[in-house]
Amino acid sequence: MQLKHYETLYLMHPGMSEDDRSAFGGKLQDIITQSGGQVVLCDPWPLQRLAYKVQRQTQGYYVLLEYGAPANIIADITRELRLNDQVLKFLTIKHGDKFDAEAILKAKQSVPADSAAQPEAAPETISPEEEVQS
Amino acid sequence: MTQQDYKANTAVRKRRVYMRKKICRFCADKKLHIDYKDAKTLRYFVSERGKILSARITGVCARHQRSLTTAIKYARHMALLPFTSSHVLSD
Ligand SMILES: [Zn+2]
Repeated sequence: MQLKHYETLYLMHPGMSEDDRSAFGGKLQDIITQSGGQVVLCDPWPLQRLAYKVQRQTQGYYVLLEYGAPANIIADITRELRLNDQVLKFLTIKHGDKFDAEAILKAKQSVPADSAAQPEAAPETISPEEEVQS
Repeated sequence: MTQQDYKANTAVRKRRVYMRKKICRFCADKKLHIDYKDAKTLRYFVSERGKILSARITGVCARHQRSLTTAIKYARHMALLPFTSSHVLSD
């Protein structure tokens, strides 16, 4: 079946243990791989402050998954995320109808060089407030 | 308002029309791409209250403003950006 390129970001309860979190991440990855899909990136973020309270929580663990999967599997992943009450928020985005794992991984390798150069450039970008005055 | 005042006013206003042409940050720098996960960058494009700033103010082109609004809305949904400053968590 044709794979499409997806990305899922989900937010987990801050009280969850590391084992539980990685077990759930593994479960999602199993769903993807069992359907013939392929995970190119699984990136758990460190505990992070939220912009507003979600289910009375002020912090949480974000996990970013990037993968190729057949379209019908997205419903399964969504159901899995919805059924787990430790998942506070989730968002799945389709990047494209084509999934080329090699091209994505290659692009990923070239990105760190770019992003390393960017933090220096970032401070000199003009904030909107400054621009209004000029 | 006298005729004189009115004229003075329009003169001031006219001068403001000739502002430096703003260029779109995302067009100028092709490496910079709009990502809803990059809350730090998106914060440049929302007001103190958390409202999305108009392209007129930020100088972003129409095409990038469109992707910027979607990105900000995704970020809000994921609690990466606030919907409004009144819900922002205090320390
Ligand atoms: Zn642009």
